[in-house]
Amino acid sequence: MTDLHEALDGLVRGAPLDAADWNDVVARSRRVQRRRVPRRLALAAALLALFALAGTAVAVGFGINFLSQQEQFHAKQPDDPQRIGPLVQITSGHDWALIGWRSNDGLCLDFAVPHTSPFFCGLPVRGAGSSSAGTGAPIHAVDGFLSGSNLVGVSDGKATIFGVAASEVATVKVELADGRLVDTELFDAPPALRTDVRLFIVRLRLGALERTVEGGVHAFLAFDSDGRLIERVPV
Amino acid sequence: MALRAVSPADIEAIYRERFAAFVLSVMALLGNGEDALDVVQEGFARALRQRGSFRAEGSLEGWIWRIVLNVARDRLRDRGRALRSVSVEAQSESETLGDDLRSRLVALPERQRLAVFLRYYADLSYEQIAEALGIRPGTVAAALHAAHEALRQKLEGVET
Repeated sequence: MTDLHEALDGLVRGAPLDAADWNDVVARSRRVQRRRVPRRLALAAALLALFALAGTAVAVGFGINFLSQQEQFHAKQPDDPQRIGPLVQITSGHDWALIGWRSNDGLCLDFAVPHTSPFFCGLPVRGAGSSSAGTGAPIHAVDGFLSGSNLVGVSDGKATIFGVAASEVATVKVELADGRLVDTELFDAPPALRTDVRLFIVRLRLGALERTVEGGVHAFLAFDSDGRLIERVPV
Repeated sequence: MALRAVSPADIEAIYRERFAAFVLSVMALLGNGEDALDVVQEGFARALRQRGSFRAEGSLEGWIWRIVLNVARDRLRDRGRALRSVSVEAQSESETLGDDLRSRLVALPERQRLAVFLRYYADLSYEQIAEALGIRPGTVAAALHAAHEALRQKLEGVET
């Protein structure tokens, strides 16, 4: 079978065997995940949007529907962190919702919109780390004051940036790649999340060109109640 | 048996010890080293992120193999199965036995191909391959037998 072995070796000629980089793995694990919502849910969301466009009064608010959507969404993903608390809506618009939940991998945040639903868990922010379930040592040796996503959900012409800040943080600003410094809305975590961290979100209307640009966030800035910069987290 | 939560250090240890096996197996599947590296990095990142969901019903390495192979399958889907069309093209132009065998390897049904790759590049046992692919060990044996049969026909055709 020498010929077969040669053929197999030929398939992997020039393999990047010296490119191992654990730090890159850790950095990737912190990034926001994007995932397609199952087609059936996307269809339901599209139908709701049609009702809204036609001026039909929809008795059930989008936020409630998104809670249901996310409930089903995570239930079908056995590899997701295990939820150990209810899904809690933090804030919402007419076609999106920011939803938090506690998991065995720390606090999780879903940015729920029709069609896609980015979420992340276990942010390296003091107060938002591993929960009582415990999953071993934290990924990051030192938890900071804030952490957030890059641009997500740009399909509706608006980009969204969201994340978590420690309770000491009074203001969060986002430094964009084009140099703009934008304010975010900051919310105390609802009691059901059983944490004192704060959650931030900003939705930006972008130009046609910017809509196609990935990696639009340069840094997150945290300020205390006296307006002093207490942390700048480059992305 | 008391269950112990998986720590990042557990996953890092497997990464450092088995990096080459993962990269080679995924590269054979995707046909591209750069993509293979990206898939392995992404797969381990996903394992790190989702380590809380590991149920210790099998080995940690087997669980990571499943995640990495799922990322690789997603990548193949994203590429619209370009690998298959490339292989057919390569087969028609190839002149040497090595080229032809490579074409036949990548044209094997996915399960057979993965079983061969995991056996050869990662040196996994039948049980470990079964765990990585989510199938029974007996199915692994059957897949490897079928793959060898398909490849043997080509080898015999040349050797006789």
